[in-house]
Amino acid sequence: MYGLGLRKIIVLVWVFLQLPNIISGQQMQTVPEHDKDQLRESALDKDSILIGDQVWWTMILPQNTGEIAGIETMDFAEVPHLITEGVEALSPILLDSVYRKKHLESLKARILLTSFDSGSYRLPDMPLYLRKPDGTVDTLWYEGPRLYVNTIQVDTTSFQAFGLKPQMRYPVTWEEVLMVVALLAALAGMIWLVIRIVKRRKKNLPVFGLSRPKDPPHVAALKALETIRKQELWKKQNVKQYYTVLTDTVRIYLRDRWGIQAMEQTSAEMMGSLHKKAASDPLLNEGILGILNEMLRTGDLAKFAKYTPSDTENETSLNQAVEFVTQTAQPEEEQED
Amino acid sequence: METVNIKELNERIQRESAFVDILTLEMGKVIVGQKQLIENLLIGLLANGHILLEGVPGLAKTLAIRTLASVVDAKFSRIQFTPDLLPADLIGTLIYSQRTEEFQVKKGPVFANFILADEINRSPAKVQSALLEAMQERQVTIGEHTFPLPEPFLVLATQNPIEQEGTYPLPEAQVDRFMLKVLVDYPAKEEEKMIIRMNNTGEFPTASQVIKPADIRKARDVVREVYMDEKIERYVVDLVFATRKPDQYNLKDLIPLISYGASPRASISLAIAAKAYAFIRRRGYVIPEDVRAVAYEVLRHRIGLTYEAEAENIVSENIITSIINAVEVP
Repeated sequence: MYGLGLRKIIVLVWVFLQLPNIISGQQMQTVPEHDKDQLRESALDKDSILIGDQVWWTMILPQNTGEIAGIETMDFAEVPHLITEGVEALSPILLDSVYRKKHLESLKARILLTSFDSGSYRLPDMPLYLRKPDGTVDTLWYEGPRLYVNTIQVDTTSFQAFGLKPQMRYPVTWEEVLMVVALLAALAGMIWLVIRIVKRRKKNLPVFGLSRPKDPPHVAALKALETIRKQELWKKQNVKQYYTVLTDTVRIYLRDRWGIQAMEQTSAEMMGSLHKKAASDPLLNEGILGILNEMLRTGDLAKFAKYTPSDTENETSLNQAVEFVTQTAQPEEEQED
Repeated sequence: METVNIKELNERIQRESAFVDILTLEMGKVIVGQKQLIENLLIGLLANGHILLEGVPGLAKTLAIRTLASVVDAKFSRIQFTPDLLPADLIGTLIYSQRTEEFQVKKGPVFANFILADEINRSPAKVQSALLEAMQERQVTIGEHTFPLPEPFLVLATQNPIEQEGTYPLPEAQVDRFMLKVLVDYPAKEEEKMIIRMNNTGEFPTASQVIKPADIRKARDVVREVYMDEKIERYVVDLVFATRKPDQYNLKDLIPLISYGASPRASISLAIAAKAYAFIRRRGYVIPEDVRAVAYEVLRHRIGLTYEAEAENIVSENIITSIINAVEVP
């Protein structure tokens, strides 16, 4: 009973001692006795570093050494994170190999290392497995170099604590500057486009290209009245439509000529607005306003009271509209203003 | 195809509407100013629609309707709405007669041609509902008997805008049953001077009876015949639709101000009120001016305002003005 208990304790102690190796993953192999005199050299970029600094460990298999002739594939043993006590691998083994006709010609392998504890470390020997076409595997060994990790000496007599340094600012690159400039230019372009669209829409102009000069209100009205005359809608039993188009033309003229909101006004309201304008516009005399009033009244009767004016009345209404527009046309000098 | 002889209709309207001037003249003898109130009373009378009056006390609201009743030779009732008023006080009730040992119907003040429901918002909802049902159905049921109300039957309800405490505001659905909502304003300086003079002399003019209820019924038939063109109908619908979907009429600014728009009853009221207005103007057809003339009275109580509108002191009249200025006239 007692003997069995002691054996258990021994096994547990052995497991406990092996625990760091088990946790850290694999363990580096050791060089067999018969290969110890054939170790190849490997090199560190620098043999001493400061705590926390990084260093490349390089292993080279030069060309024409004979060992690699006829090699199909090669592989290193997997490297654990903790290469040796106090030294950590920051990268996997980075291989730079050259194959020609499926045969390895040269090889360069690198591992990035660091250490956070000062001292002198002997890096482990590194095996390289070379597989030949016949399936046999040769193992080459690289001797692990020695790495010195220095610490910073602190004068504790004059030691003064400082605050944390701010985050390091990297210099601005041209790419970053160009990116910002391009974004700003694109934003400015979009704003310009939106403003242009809004402005041109308000003026009823195309967004791009030159706009055709708009006809003065009286010219536009006279053109529309001429079209109405040619259509002769009243002769096609379409009197209501005829008076709708006729009065709408006059309304548009009032809107463009004096800024009266005529499309949304009744005939009486339109006359009221014109009488107000007459105070400052000598062209709007009682005579011409009377002519317009008569035309609008006939229009209202035709549109809303099923009144069928005679052909003479229809032509008179059109002539009254033309007369009103002609007599109240804006003089040229005012238009230029 | 509808065939309307406008010339003949115009002549008929000229004849039938002859009483309008005399009626206005007679009422003008008693009521100083308040031309708009008198005109709206006439529209309500001719269009068979009830009227909601809003104005501070002392603006001749009662006098106006009493005078209207006297010139039409009709029965007039004034009901002061109070918080303790019961529906039976309004429509009547059954009273047990010991002599005949039977229940007898005692008709309430609602059985009159013209009714002034004074301060309608002072009574609870059940009394308001009793009156509004009578307005809608034009008949009253007491016990097991249903009695038709006399024709013409016109209700004028008043609301006092300055006293809000202890009131039961009319729900939107009830308010919608009034064809017109008329705001009664103070008289002008000159008019008020005349009112003082009339009261100081102690000689109050009286209005003569110039028309009979039968004439009103006849005039109502003619009003219905007033020609309304399809263009005007579309204009009426546009105005009402603009209260519901302002964005379709370039009135996006109104969207956050309107909680609900006018009902289809508003379209019907606007059309018939415009016809009545055309009749008063002695015309056999409706023109856009007629629609505009009655638009405020028909729509102002049918547009619901949001809290945002109230916070910005926007009233329904502002909304109607914007709509009228935006909707194209045919």
